[in-house]
Amino acid sequence: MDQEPSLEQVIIDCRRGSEKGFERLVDMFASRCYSYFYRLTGNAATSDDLLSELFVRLCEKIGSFKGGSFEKWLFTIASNIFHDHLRRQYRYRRLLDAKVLEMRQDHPPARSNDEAMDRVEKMLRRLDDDTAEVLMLRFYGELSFKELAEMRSEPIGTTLSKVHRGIKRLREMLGEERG
Amino acid sequence: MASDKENLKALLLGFYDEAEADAVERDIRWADGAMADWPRPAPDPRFLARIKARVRAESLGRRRRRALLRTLSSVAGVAVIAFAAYSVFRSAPGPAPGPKALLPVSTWAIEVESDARLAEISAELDELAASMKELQIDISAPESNAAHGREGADNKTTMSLDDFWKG
Repeated sequence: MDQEPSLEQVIIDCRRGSEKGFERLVDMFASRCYSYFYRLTGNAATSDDLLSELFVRLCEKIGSFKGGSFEKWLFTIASNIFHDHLRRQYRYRRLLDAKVLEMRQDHPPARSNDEAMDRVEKMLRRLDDDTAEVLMLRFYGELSFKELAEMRSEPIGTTLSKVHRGIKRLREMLGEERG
Repeated sequence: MASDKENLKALLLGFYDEAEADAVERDIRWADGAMADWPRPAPDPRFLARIKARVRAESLGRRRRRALLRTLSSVAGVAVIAFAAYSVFRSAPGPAPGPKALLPVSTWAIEVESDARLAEISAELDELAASMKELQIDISAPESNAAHGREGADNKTTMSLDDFWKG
């Protein structure tokens, strides 16, 4: 029977340029990375694009992985891609707003063409972007508080209190829904 | 699950007291459970197949580029070695070139010709000096004797003018 190779072996294969290695990496992480993108963007097409960009960038940068937590390294790239997307979207929105103002139409629906949001997504929308991102990194990236703090270059106590505040807010929202 | 990767209680006790740490830990574990229960969005399998194809192409392209780079650097290395070897053998010891080989023959001819002209000029100068001696003008003491000579000439001129006025 074919034994599944360990993550270390897959990374070694990828560094050697093995196509099989990259395919295994896609199988291992695509779902978690997609969930991370989807929960933050709320759009399947955008999440597909970002996921594709992530794996292409992974292909380019695998040689620079110096060991340590692979998840932390991978989700740092994912987070950078997400922030690049936000910057692009912000520029696009500004252009769009200017155009809309010019045409004297005052109904810029922020997410009109997005899919129907599920309950989790609705709750995440009500959190600020930073808290939502740190929660998604915690749960989909499966990063420890130490890894999260290192990734965000902030003290571990700050990360801890941010995550805890976010969780408390989620609980409150669930309580509001039930009540 | 992220909570399994760390000693959550020990970490929380570094920031909260016992009771608070318990409450925060409960919240975090509740969130872990809730996130696991909530639907996890998954990518379309066809899209994953497309990503794999793209990654495969990217990896193949990178391998080709790397092979090309390796070949180019090998060729460059061989070229450098060949050039170095050529430089070493070219500068091997042999007969050193003489000065005549460095300067054209005409240069020496000009010098010889100039020497002859110089001798001619100094002969002329000697001749001139001799004739001046004859005229009792010493050219080696220009300040004293030449002044006398000039004085004599002036006297001669004055005398001629006196004769003129005398009629």
